[in-house]
Amino acid sequence: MELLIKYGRNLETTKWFVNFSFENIDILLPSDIILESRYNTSVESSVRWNNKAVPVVNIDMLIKQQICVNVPEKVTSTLIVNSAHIYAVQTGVSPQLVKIHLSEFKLMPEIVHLYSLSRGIFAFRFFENKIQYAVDLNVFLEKSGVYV
Amino acid sequence: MDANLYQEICNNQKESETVSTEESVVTWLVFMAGKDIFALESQEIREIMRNTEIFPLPFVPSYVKGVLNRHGDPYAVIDIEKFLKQNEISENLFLILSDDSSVAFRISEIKEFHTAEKDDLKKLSDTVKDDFFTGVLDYKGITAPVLNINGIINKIREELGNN
Repeated sequence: MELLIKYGRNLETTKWFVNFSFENIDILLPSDIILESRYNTSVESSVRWNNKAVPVVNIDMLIKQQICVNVPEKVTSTLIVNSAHIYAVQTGVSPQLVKIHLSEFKLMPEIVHLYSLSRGIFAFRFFENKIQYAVDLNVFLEKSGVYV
Repeated sequence: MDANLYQEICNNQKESETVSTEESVVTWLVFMAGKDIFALESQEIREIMRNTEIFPLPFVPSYVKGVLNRHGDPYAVIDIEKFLKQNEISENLFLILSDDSSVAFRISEIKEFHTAEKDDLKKLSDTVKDDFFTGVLDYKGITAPVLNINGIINKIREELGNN
């Protein structure tokens, strides 16, 4: 994905992302890692997919811990995602599908680029007074202290 | 001697004298970060930005406040007071550095563009040599440490593992 974004200007590639929107930042996950979307859900400590229990992650709480933004109090959606491991990602925001031309993404400023990359943030774009981070969920969760 | 060559040498001589005179005077930007006063050579600053939004960046140390948007280009915001002394700055005033590091220092207040002789910069002695300062400047009777941008940026790169 990083290479695609780096050379996306030449490839003229567009890609669908699932957008989790929090105040002035958005978290973008590639839509092709989404296995299933379940709406009108609530907090669940145990989620099963294909008859197997999968780790449950509350992305709202992770974002709140990392950057102290306000997040919804209630969980309303659960997305089953496959990002190296299969997770049940719970959120109270309404995930939106967005199609983005990869040339719109930029790499992080050099001084924080490798650091952010090693924590799962591989690119970003400024969009409508917000910043949107394209995220490798598996790395992001590992560095957040979520054990798999 | 070739007259043209002689004239060219004379012209070069005048130009080098002019440059030499210009370089003896330096314009410093004197500014506050929290309660502390600092100075930077004005040519090390590309732009002063005020009241621009900082977008948060997950995981980074507390002195990296996030990313700001300068004409579509991202700059990592470093709270210089937090980096040097652990005190947080609340003002939204930023110095965009003119090097290629894409870094903006968050500061509190601009005091003045201060013109002084280059010799007015007192280098630090080897015993008190600090990677974060190149020396001190006498500004209206106040001693203003002059930031060593390369030293600070390299230290941040080292801490973030971005060397």
